[in-house]
Amino acid sequence: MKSKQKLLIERISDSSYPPKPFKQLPQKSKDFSLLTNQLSPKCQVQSTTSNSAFFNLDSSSLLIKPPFKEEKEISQNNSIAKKPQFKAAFISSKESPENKLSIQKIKSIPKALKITNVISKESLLPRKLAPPSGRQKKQMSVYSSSYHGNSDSKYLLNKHFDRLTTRIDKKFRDDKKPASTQKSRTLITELIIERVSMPESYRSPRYQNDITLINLTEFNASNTQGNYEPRLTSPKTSTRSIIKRFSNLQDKSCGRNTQPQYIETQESNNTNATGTGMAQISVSNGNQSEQFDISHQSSLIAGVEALSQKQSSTNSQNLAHQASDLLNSQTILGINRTLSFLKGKLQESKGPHHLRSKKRSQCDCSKQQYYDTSMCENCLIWIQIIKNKTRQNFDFQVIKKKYDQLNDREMVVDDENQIARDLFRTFQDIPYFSKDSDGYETLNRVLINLCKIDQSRGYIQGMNFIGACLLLHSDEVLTFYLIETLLKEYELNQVYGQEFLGLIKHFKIMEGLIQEKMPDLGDHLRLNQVEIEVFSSDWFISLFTSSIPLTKTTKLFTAFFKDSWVSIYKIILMILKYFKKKILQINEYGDILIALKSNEFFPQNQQSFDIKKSEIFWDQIFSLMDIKFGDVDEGFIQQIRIKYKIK
Amino acid sequence: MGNCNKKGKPSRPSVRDPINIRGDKENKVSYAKVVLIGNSGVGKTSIAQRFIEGKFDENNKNTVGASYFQKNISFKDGSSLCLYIWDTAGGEKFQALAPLYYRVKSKYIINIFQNAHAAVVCYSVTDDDSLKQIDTWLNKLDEHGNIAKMIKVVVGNKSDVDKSERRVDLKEGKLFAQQRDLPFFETSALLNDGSIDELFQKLASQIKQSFTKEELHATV
Repeated sequence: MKSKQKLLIERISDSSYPPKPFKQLPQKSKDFSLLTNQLSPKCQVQSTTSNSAFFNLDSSSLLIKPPFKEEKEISQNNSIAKKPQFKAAFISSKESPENKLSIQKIKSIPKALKITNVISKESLLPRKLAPPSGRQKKQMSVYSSSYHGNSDSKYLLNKHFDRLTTRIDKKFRDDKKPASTQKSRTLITELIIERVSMPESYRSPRYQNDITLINLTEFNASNTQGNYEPRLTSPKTSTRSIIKRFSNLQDKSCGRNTQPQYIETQESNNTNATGTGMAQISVSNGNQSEQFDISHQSSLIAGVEALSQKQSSTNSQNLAHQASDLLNSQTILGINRTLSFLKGKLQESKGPHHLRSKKRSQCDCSKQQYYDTSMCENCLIWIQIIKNKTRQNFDFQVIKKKYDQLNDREMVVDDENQIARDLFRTFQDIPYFSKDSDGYETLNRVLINLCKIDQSRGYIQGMNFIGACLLLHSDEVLTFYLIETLLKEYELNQVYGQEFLGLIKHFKIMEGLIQEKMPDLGDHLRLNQVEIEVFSSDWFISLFTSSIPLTKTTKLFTAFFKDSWVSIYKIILMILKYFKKKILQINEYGDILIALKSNEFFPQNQQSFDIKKSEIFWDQIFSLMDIKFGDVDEGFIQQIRIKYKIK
Repeated sequence: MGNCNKKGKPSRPSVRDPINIRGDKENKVSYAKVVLIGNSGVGKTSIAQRFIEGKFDENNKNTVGASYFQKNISFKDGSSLCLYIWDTAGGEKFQALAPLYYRVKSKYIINIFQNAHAAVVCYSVTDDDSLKQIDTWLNKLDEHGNIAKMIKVVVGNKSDVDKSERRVDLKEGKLFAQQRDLPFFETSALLNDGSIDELFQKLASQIKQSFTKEELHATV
């Protein structure tokens, strides 16, 4: 083991290594399991056990050549992961000397992680290498401590696993041929090794799912070896089918409507007919899910709970014995630690909702959650866009510090009453924002702090919707940052400012745009005295957040952060284009307005409302706006402003 | 939403002269513009919703800018009046300078009170401050409205609340309206007790009495 560590440390300490990590993956990717071993607190003890696991897995002939093709695909798809600069921005500035040292080291982690995306078969075999020198040992300890003490490293580590999980997910989704089962197995095995050799404290709650998956797969692996009596394991019972069944169970117990992603073969859910050990317990969990009332991720716990219940009943003592054997088994790495971790989690939690970490954003828009900032994938994209657009550094700690200072500043905020009144009317159909819940209080603080930075502007109705939409995808500090950016960098301040000069400017530009793009409609609107502001003021003030279904606001913000107000112009042009035929037939002021703000598509002030139909409509708008009005850009707007003399 | 055009009316091709269009409808439907104003959170949108759709939405959103409703009201004599109802945002900031209220266009100013035939000034019986603010709203109407005989109505909303939550008595509201020589109503948008229908029925008939047919065609 020591010799391997040396090699690893050499590579880590070499900052120029590797020059092009992705291209050299096959050769350089061997050491990740070792890396994680070293980083774990009980590195020495673990290394022996993990080795035994490697052998087990190896002998079970699960492993074949690593799928390099997939690796390339993923690396191309995952554009965020490609940018180590961005990751570095999250590195915290905790000021203890130990951490300072570790921070310097962390900066090299992305490289190290990148090269170890794929674990080849060879990496699982022990290799003879020279023991590490004194200097290297020192470095190693520094590196290791960085993983213990610094939460940012956890973030990076988790991010790596996110990538890996995505790859596996994709693999399963894309694979339709049974022949590729072997490849999938390899992928899962990689995951097992990496995950299990990672200390549980580094796992984000999101991986509870995967931990159960790991255990299952491991069991399957050991099963083929004949460690446990393979009661009814048919040779066709692939890892995937077990996972598929597992995901079915999870869906059942979670009460979610999501489709299981790993469907390939039809498996019966009969408790006694198929599967052994772990899988069987899980199946029984599926049947008794109501009793256990475990509706979140940890089916494993459910399995154990089921086990303890079964132990008391006389009928299934055999099963219980089998499963407890399984759990005590040394061949399954880290399972006990996993269990205690999960059990601890369960005890802490009071209900399914609380199983979610506090660090999780409220949205369901992506699988990925970034551990320390509780932002979702979309929020990450927004911040990245802002970063590119404004050319300003994004430093979470700096923002947090500023926010905390604002929070502590005691000020009389004039608009406090108005905020309270509006929060009571902000997405009350969503439990997170209902009164006295977390979201309600958080949004209140964010809006009050926004007032503190500019008392003359204060709170404007409409900010509450923008804040709520952003808060769903991030946390308090990030929401504040995003709104502040919107106000300052995206000229929302001008729209809200005195005399609404920015807003009037937008109205005039919009008028010009309509005249330019759809002159017949422009004439018709003018003829019927329908001014732009009577139907579009709330769209501009609240950036559509008060008008469109909440699920579609992510797309909206991505477009807005990218193209600023041009995206809003485009959306309005699309809406007008959609209703153009209808409007041209109406010669009535009121009817035109009602046609434009059709009940079918704008959920505001509507009780019975077909949300799906509306979502389809908005999907169309967002997907077509760049095609139909692709030529509308900053330059075009500039031309309009010159032509119509808009200052 | 109510369609103000009578059934069977053919849609005409757009005519270049807008006056001509209005002239055509003279004998068919009359129009009146009504603005709903009052402090934030007194229930203006709920009043409009109850009147238009006959519903009450507990998960109401605060109005941003202004929203538009219309409904036809029929009278016993067979004639009808179409109400254009502008539901406005009551927030402080828009009270001062709403873009909808003001639009600087060449030399004249168009605002939301322009050409309004009637104004429904609302307060909430649970909020005594909103009653005091009614005077401010009335001043604004005088300042920005261009129709001298604009009909103003004082409405105390949320009459369904418990006595313990009530801050403004029925008597107090009545007295307030009496002092200013305005009609008074107490309504509940939550309960389907007909109080809001009554309010708009009476408002419509008063509009019809006060304005001539010609005056009830000027819109927007």
